[in-house]
Amino acid sequence: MKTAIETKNLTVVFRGKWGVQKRAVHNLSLKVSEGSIFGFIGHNGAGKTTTIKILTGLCRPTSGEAEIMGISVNNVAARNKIGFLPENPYFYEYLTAGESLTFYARLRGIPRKDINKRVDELLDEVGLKDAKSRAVKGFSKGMKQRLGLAQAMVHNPEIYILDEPLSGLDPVGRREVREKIIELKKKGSSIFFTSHVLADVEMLCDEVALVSQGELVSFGKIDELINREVISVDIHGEGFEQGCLKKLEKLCKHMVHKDNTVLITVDTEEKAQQAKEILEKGGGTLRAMIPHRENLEDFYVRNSRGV
Amino acid sequence: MKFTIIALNTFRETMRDRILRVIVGVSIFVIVISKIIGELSIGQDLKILVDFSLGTIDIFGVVLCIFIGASLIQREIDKKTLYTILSCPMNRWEFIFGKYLGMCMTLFVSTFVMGIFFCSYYFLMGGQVSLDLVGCIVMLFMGLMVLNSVAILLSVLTSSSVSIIVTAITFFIGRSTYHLKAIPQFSDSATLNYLTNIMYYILPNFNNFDIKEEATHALTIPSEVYLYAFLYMVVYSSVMLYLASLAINKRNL
Ligand SMILES: Nc1ncnc2c1ncn2[C@@H]1O[C@H](COP(=O)(O)OP(=O)(O)O)[C@@H](O)[C@H]1O
Ligand SMILES: [Mg+2]
Repeated sequence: MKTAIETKNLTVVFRGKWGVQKRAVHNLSLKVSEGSIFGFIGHNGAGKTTTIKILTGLCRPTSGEAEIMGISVNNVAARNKIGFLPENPYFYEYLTAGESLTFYARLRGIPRKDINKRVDELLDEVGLKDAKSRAVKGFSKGMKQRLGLAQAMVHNPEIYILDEPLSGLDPVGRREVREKIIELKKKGSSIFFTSHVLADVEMLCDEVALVSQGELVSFGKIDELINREVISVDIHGEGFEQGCLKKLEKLCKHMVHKDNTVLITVDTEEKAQQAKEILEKGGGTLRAMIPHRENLEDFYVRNSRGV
Repeated sequence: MKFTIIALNTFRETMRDRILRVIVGVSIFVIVISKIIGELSIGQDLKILVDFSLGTIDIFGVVLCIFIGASLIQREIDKKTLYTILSCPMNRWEFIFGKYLGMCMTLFVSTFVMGIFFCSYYFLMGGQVSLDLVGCIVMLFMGLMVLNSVAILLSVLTSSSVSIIVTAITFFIGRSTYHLKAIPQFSDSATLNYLTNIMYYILPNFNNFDIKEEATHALTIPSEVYLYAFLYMVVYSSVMLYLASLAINKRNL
């Protein structure tokens, strides 16, 4: 499979105030295959945005290299291949949504005669049709995010680079963006996106890389990396005989009860099944049984050992 | 030509800036009342109208350079509007050059509007609009282009507030470079002489664009003066924009 994005021993050191050096990315080597959705995860300050700034030509690497479809990021031609959605995208506030997209379409070299049609298509696609002649100034965070996506899609790029595309959105907005990402992949593009929420990555990605303090912690196919096993189960029951409580208590890690409702947490699905039986024998009803899987925190803890 | 797209957009940006309308409005008001002030000094009223009006057009152009031009680039960096723009296939110098051109277009329009207003008013009041009077306004515009290039360089190098102040200082010193050159006559300090000499050569010399005296006294101005001013404008602005491009190329955004 061809490589969409590649970084080789990428290192970025910022020189801050009073000459204090800050190493944001250290010796990062990555490969993103063409046509895949690649999740780049890590906590705030891990170096995700900095890596993206290198790929989009906004920052220069201190050492190492980065390539977009075989073209060095130092070459502006590499920018032809990418569509970029920054973290919290910012636009000229004095322009309307339509004017903004027209501006980007012109910068992307879309022929003049096709621009109007393309802009309308894009606005339609991201659901901003009615906001075409509204100034960006009054846009909500969600609307700016959609305009940002439309802007990245102007020239149907081969690669999308999206910085935290899902953060700060309401559940509906998140779902829309997730669907859009899947749709873009179906059209044959590669997507590189960052997130600090493991669930987002799990749901969408083919491959992931985990960074911590600028260094690559693990990198590979998502199924090989993330523990799919259930690590705990929450059980919510009510209307049981008081006698069950003793038995439940022996079984669980954690228990809260009030009047005749109880919330317990056990650490395996087996134990959850047992707890359910106890509850039902005691005449109670099972209200909910919620399995929990590994989250970013656990993933970090498990993978960061020995780094 | 990516820079033309940036230029047209910057032109639109600055034309929509409220400060521009306020400034053009105020300057037209000043031109109108200068006639009334002129009437206080009998027989001198038209000369005072010319003096006042040219001064007003100049100063308000300078104010535009200082308050819009000097924060043009830094504002894009601070507000991060640059991110989506520079991720398009475009060199950073094209962005700088486009910003500069767009701002020059705005300066041109505002100088043109004020100039047309002044010339018509002057004509109506019985003055004679000579070619050199028009030349005077053209020269003044070229001076603004030079100041604008300094403002752009500063807006890449420093924060908006610093570049506003330094642009203003540059203008005032650049206006009085003759005095700068004269300082050594009055001082024995070698370092001071050295510094004033450096400043004399580094800072823009706006006297090259000032032919108000000659024009108001209806003296004919040799065409070399215009040619020299034009070449000075091209060379000085190019150097400023080149430095601005070098500076922004090095910057991590
Ligand atoms: N321009 C800069 N100057 C100095 N330090 C920076 C700069 N940009 C980012 N950093 C630092 O680099 C580290 C990585 O930041 P970033 O890449 O934004 O992280 P993330 O996107 O993963 O949250 C942080 O510690 C941040 O403070
Ligand atoms: Mg970030």
